[in-house]
Amino acid sequence: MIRSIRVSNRVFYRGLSLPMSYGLVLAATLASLIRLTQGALSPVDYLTDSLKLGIFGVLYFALAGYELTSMLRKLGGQECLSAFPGAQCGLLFSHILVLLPLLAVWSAVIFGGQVIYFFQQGLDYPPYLLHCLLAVMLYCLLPGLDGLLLGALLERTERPSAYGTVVLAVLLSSSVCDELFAGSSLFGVSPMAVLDWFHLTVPNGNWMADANYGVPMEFCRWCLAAFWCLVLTSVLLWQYRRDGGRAVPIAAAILLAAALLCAARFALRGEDDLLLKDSRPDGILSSEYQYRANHPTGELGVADFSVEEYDLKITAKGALKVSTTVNLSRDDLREYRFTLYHGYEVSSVTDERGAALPFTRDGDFLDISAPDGAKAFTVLYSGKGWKYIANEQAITLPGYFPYYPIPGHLALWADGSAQTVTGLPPARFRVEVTSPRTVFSNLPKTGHNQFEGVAEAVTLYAGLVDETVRGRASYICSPVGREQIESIDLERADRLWQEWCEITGETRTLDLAGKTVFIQPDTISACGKGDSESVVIFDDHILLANMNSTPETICAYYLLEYLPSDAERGLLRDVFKQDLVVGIGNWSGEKPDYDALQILREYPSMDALNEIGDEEQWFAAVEQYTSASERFHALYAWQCSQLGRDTVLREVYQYLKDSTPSQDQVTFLYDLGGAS
Amino acid sequence: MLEVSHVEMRFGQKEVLRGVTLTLHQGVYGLLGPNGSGKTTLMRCIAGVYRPAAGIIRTPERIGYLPQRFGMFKQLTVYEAMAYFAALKQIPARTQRKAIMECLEQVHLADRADDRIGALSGGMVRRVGIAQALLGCPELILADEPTAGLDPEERLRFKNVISNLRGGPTVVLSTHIVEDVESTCDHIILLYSGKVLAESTADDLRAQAAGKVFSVPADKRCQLQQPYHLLREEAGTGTLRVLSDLPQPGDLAAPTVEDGYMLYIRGRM
Repeated sequence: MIRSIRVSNRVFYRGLSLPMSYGLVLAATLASLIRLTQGALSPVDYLTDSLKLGIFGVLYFALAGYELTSMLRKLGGQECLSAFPGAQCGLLFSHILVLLPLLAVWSAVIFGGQVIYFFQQGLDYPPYLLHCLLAVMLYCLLPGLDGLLLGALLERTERPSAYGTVVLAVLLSSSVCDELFAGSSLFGVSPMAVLDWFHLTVPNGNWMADANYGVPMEFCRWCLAAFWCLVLTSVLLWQYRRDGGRAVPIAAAILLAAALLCAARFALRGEDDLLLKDSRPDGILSSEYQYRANHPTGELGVADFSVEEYDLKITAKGALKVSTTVNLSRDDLREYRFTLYHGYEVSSVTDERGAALPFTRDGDFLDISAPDGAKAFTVLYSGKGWKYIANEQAITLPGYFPYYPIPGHLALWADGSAQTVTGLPPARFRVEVTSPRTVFSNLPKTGHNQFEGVAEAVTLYAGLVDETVRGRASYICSPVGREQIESIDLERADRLWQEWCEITGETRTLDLAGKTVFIQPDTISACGKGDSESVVIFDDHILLANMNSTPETICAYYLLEYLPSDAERGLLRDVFKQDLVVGIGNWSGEKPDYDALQILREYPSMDALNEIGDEEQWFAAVEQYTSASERFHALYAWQCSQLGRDTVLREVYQYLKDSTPSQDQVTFLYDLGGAS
Repeated sequence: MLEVSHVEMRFGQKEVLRGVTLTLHQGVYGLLGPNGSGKTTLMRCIAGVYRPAAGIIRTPERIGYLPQRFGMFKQLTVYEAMAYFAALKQIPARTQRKAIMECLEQVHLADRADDRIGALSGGMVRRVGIAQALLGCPELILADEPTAGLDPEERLRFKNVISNLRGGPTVVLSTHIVEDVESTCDHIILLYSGKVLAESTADDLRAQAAGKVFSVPADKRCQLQQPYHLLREEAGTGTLRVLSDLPQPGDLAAPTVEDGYMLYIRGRM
């Protein structure tokens, strides 16, 4: 074998084409990394973009593997070697072994890029380097190895068919096919389900990584990479079963058995909580929308009981598995109605004596029957929570999302976006999370991943997450994301709120200072249409989904949260919000003409223009609408210059708060301060 | 000693070897047969390249094999290529250099030992192939079309190399060049359509053809009696060399091994 490796080394390094092409690949990789460095990306986005180079690894090492291993056959030396038992097999694997260090070096260059960027960005979060290393292994090293083995496997084929096969493999492995087949169906089967088996490079080339989750590296993805490595090696060995003695077919059989195990694990990934960042039916981008389109929310209702105590035992590996014991305020009811996200399948409900209780599940509702009443229930359930991921890689379970049973039939979906569940009476929580990650919560910590305390809700976060303390506030966020916690000054937000309350007459209180701030990952904000998850304020913690939250944005969201969100006043709401957050500026010109705003009365929002069927008329209307909305902004600014900003803010706020306004938004703003 | 017993080989539906049985002792054997007779397949079966569908092949432990087409990595030097084969033949490291150089001497490539194979001519590469077959004092040497691509001088040299091996290993030369066999082989095996037609010697083949080879003037072509087999037209003399059981208009010619070989083959055609 040593002699074979020596031969392979000489053949590779004394040739011209293979070392030169490898040099080019290395140079191109370095150039790409340097170019990315100049892109002012967040570290995790830099990592994701770097990993896209993995596809070139598959391509290069497949072709290099083919060229090196097929060289002797093309020269006519194969037959001579086949007279020596094991010689062909030995030479083939020595060729592979010679290419392996080159693959490792190329992968190391990509990892090195991450290390340099890590220090360049001044990050102080070593676990991220491990994440990078694993990501490079999974999405560059292993696919490159798969490519290499594929190239070696094609050794006996002619160049055109070998190259064709490699190109096909690269296309299948890349996200090109995803783009082609997204959302399509062939004979009732989604092509994505088949393409999944070839997804060895980054899962989706178009979407940015989630800062908390990092690059998706669920266990099943490792199984897939291992499956291809094992199955290709097994087939390679099988090809040389006559050449290498009895050990070769035995090794091939063992590897094949291992490959089948990996394949089985990957095939059974259905229950795993995977971060599928594409538009397939069970991906986070569209699955919930499709579900909600087919499952209207049932009849809502508040509960006539409350939960005094929760005992949550959570296992976050693959899918979320939870055992929740709830102690109830009343034991004299025959039926207890809860809300629990529909993605969690309830397997059993027992009372405090361990007796099974009948229950029904209708979408997000869980109704438990207790013929003799019950003081406590234990509910066992498991499943996945759409964009509220909970697996071995990360946990994103915000307190406003019912991943544990919440009393009453509550709406989790309205107006095409997820709704938050807030304003619940405080309860005592005991939470124990089994996860390979360090879990962060709003509750006081009592042990490793154990928490206990009284709160409205429990938020659990894990993954590429760390705690940063600034002043009195504690921030739970990803150190590798784009969040700027420096801009979130909670004490200034409290002062600002006071000012706004004085201006608008709002009476609600806001006491943010000292609360724990959870910065929501991109996944949360990327999937929601509405603003409901942008700022969620609990008694002891705040969840911010806005990537550039400031005291102004926090207060503005909180101020507008309870206002009616009718489309008829949408434009004014937007202008009002803009004024609160960034200011509307001064207007020194004439008061805009009322007639020029007519289209805004006819079509109060841009969406309303869709009623126009004729395309030409629609384009003309859009142009007119855009121009009118600019004048509407100008009118707002003009009113501010005439009446003073505080007066306008107060009047507009009262108008927006009014559940039955007597005027449309244009007339209201125009006549503000007296009709003219 | 090489024993080939009832060896059969098929490629799909086509039977290439049909119950070939041979026992070869020390000496140089020539495997003669027309194209497609199964020579290369038999050589490959003996060398272990193919596993026969049926039958048994018993070979000595040390085999030297020169396939019909020999090539080696162009990036290696002649010596490195030989060293690789020496390693495959498990020649001890301390004797490797001497053994390699001896073999290269035999094929007159010792002075090119440090040259890259890519820099050698086709004939020289063929000689490297011969050298590697000779490496490690094999007890059985199998050479498939060994002189193909060699210039006349090298062919002669190869024949000398083989002649020098007499009394040593069993050598099997597979060729369709009867002249090579005539000058180097002690024994001749005629293979036809996957079967052994005859095991003979050069003298036997010549004797078989005695009285059946005629040198007929070209202008008497029309007087030839059927059946006859035209071996060739002798360039320069204007005569035809004819093989026939019947008397022909011309003189009897001294028979060659090729005449004997053709006599056998013609009988099967």
